[in-house]
Amino acid sequence: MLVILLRYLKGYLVIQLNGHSLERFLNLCANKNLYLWNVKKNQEGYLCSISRECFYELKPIAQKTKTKLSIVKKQGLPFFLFYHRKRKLFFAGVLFCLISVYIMSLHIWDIKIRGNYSYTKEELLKFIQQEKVCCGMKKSKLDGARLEEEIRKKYDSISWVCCEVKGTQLIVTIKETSDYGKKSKFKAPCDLVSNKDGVVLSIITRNGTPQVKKGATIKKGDVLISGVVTLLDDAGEPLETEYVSADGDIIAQTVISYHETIDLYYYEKQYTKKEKNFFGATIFTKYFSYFKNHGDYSHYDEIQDTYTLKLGESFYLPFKFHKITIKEYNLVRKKYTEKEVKEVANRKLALFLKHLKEKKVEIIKNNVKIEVMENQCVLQGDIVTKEAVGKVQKISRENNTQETKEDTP
Amino acid sequence: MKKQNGTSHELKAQKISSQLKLPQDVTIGATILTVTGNYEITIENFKGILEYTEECIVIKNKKGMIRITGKKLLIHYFTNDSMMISGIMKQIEFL
Repeated sequence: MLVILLRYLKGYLVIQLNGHSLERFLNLCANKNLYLWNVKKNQEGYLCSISRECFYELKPIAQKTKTKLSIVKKQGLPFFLFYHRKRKLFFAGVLFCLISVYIMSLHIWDIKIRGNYSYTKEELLKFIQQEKVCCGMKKSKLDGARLEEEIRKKYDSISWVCCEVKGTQLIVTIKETSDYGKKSKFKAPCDLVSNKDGVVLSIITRNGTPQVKKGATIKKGDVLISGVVTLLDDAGEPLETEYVSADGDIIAQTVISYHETIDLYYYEKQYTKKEKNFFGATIFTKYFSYFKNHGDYSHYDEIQDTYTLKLGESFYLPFKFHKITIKEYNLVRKKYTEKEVKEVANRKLALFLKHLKEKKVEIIKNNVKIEVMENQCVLQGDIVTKEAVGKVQKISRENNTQETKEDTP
Repeated sequence: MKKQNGTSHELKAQKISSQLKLPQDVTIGATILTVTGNYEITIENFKGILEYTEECIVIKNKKGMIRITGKKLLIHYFTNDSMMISGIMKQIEFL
């Protein structure tokens, strides 16, 4: 492949050899180190290819062997340029194209976000845009480290961010932590208070004074582990009060009351198979689309497909094409049968329980009952769960000062 | 595939060079033919072409000739020290 490309770049000739001692001609060429290729026998003699420079050295050999040389074809870039030397606009176009591709390669034309599952792409893109990083900005002006820092600052549950520029694409890879929220890295003195009602099943204190015991009933807002540690002297009198950041694991049995109603009547989309296609384009950062006509469709779905032009894997160009499809549908009022509605209800409940399990909540008992009434289906009941409770609450400064004042006399 | 035409003197030379593990194309000027399937052949260490048609190519080497017969034979490239022939090969003869 490379050899073919090199031959094309240097330019070569396809020549016809006529004469009586063509084999001798070939041998002499080889002796003079003239490279010949694609030697083919035809009716008149031999057809072969030779590079542009070597052709001039053939003359003495041809005279010696009485061989007639005739050029059949001239191929390669030098000949191509020579033939088209008068087409100034063409060359100007090629030059312009090369320069514009180079200039476009200096900018960012696509932002991709990877690794997000609780934050939407749109939300992150909006934040990135607020940080003055957008499609069309110069690559040299992009400060990846600063952007990473800002994202980490803004979103607490993003533990790791990596901004990488590949071609003309900015790839922001994030990692989200799952167990954020319960314990923060507070350095200020704080209590651990309950965020739910329930019964304490186990309590492990790492830092602070425990306020509840196993089996105690707790209510939302109750202090579970206090950040105030009082040191007692031998007589059992308070000697010193220390404020720490309370930390520990409290597992409690909680009750979630679940209530949900499902209407037996519902609307279903029935597509009429009527659809219209429209096209639009984004050039640089401007969006163009010709007049979109929704016609007489009263209800319709709009589906937009976007194609970005790119060279190779990661050289995204600032041209996007949009295909907008509008599908008409009619709304049909329907009623669930008892069997259907129970299925829907069971699915909803299963989804709810699945979400709970994702939050590492253990389900002990599920008392939810499904009742089908005349117009609606009601899901009602309690779910007994076992989960970690506790949230951080700062110890207010005023209380502290008062307490310390009270302590001192 | 290596080939020597030979008298006893040559056989001796061949023996010595093979025992000394010297390349025989250098010591006794043997031609090296590398055949790929029946469609491609590379020839090294030869003197020149004696005949070339689409059906037959005769090559001169140090001691004699090599005749390759086949169909649609084409010289892929041709230089002083090596050449490649492609086409449908039928026979390789040492004359």
